Amino acid sequence: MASVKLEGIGKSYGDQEVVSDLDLEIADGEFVCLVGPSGCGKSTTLRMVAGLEEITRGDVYIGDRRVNLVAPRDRNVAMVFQSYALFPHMTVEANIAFGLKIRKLPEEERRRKIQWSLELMGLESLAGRMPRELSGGERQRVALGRALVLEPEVLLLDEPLSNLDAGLRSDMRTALKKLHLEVQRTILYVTHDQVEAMTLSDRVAVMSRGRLMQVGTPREVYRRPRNLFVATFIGNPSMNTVQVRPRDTKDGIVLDAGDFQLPLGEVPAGLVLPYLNQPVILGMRPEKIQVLEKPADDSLRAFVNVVEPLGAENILDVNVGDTNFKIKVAAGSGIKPGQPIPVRFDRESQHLFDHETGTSLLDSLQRPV
Amino acid sequence: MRWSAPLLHRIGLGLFLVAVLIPPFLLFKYSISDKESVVTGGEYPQPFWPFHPTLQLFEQLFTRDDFLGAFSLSLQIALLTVFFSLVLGAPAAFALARYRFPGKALVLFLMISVRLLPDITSVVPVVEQFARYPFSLVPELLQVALAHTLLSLPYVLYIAIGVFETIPRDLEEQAQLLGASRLFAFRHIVLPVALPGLAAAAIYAFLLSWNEFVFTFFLTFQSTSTTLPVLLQRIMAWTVQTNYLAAIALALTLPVIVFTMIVQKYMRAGMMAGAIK
Repeated sequence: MASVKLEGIGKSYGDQEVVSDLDLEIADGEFVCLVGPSGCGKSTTLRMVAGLEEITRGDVYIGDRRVNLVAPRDRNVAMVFQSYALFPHMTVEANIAFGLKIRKLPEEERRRKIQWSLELMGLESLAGRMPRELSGGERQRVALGRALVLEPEVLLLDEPLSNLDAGLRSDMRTALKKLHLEVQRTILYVTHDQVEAMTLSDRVAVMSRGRLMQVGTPREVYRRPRNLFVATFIGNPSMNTVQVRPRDTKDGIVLDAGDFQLPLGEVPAGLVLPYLNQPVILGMRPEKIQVLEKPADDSLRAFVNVVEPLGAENILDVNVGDTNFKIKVAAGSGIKPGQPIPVRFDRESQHLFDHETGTSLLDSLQRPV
Repeated sequence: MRWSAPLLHRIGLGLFLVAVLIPPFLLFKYSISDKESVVTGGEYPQPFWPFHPTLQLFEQLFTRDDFLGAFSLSLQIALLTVFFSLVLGAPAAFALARYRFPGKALVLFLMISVRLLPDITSVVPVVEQFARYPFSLVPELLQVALAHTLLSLPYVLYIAIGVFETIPRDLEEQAQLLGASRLFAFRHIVLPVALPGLAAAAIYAFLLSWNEFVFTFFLTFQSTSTTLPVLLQRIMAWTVQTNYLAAIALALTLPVIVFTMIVQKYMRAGMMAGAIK
């Protein structure tokens, strides 16, 4: 097993820079997700670690070894492609055995390892099948089994669940997490699905346009997004954003949105002072806006446009004045479209971002979560 | 499907069928005809079906040295053409399908440019070269096979490029990550997966060579041994015995059927199924 270290790596195709100046350290046995919208450079980054893509700038280390110029097969990494890339003319067993055969392992040891892999992935009864005779989930397990049988130091997974239907995806997610606990490999996992990233990984690395936006535990990136991109990318539905101007009043600093005013929450006033009367972006999570029974002093009057039932929860699309918000509430609240409701914004969960750079005003503070 | 197709459509279909079936029917009929059914001396019309159907002509044919010689030569040349076309065409096609390099479009164009000229035009420089030292030392068999390769290669290239393009790069990359070298991945992953498509290219090359007349005619002009199509022409030059020619023509189709049946085994559909998705 080994750690992985990316030091200022970059990738360009001609003038076009797809990954720039990326630093990331993955500890031995850690499960890290690279997450971001499509085209953000996350797959390219993964392929640079695998050795399938040349590294334009910077260094990649696996363990203590710099691997920039090491051939893919000598890096001791295994990868599961989004397409699974099963060899269509070989049985499940032959697919799993492929790498072992090249390594010319003794027959006895090879048998044992294949057996281990088949059992681990629950494929014993399918060993003799061809890939075309397998379901999506089974193919996925073969691809994983084939990767794990070589006992790689690092396991690279490129959107392994994106070809599965919703139910199976959630099952495989759980299975992957169990698998990680069982085999304790260093895993770098690429996905565009933030739910997958949040549920699976020890740490999440959020990417956008070839740059790393934030690295942290799922809790950190959710609670303390360092910039507007991470704030709106992580969380479902997305964080509400509205442009406000901090004003100094006799009651302290308030955030003036035009249609309504909110007292400043837990963001220290000192950080907001430089922005007095300047536009800043206020972010509020849909789950941090409460619907009250009846109006209170600090409540706002919201008007319900649409109710989207999700089963256990409802998503409300509401307007406060002209400002549109999403609110997540428990189902069964009996709220109907066209109805005015009193809402209260959770003061402790305000996020403030610089209007121009999108950086969190808290970013200058290194605070524990 | 309705059975009651309009009358006009049925008549059209019927005429089409008759038109398509006349040549093979005539071939078959003549090849099993006895002499009286063909040579009538104008005293009676040729019968629709031979008076005394017989396989005598085929017996004669397969005991003639010139026929057997030409048959064997044709077969050797066709198989050599298939061999050369695939050995040269498959790697070239793979490179053209997989790698980007400057001037790729031009290379592709030049490679198929032979086929832009009529055969009868490109035959001149080819025959001219083979007539000169040192190419004149190349055995005639090889000369003809190489000329046929020249003709089939562009097609093989095109078919094979199409085949390789359908094979996802993921498969090779996966093989490399599992420890394979590029060559090993090509040999053990790409080629087996490409086999059905390449089999189609092989059938094409075989047919082309088996059928080829113009180049063979000029290259074997002074030679006593030649391929079947040219032999057919030579026999035609001194006999008008329709039934004899028909038998030769029919015999020409046999190896094509056999070769196609053998190669078809590799043309299993859905080879790629299960690799991705």
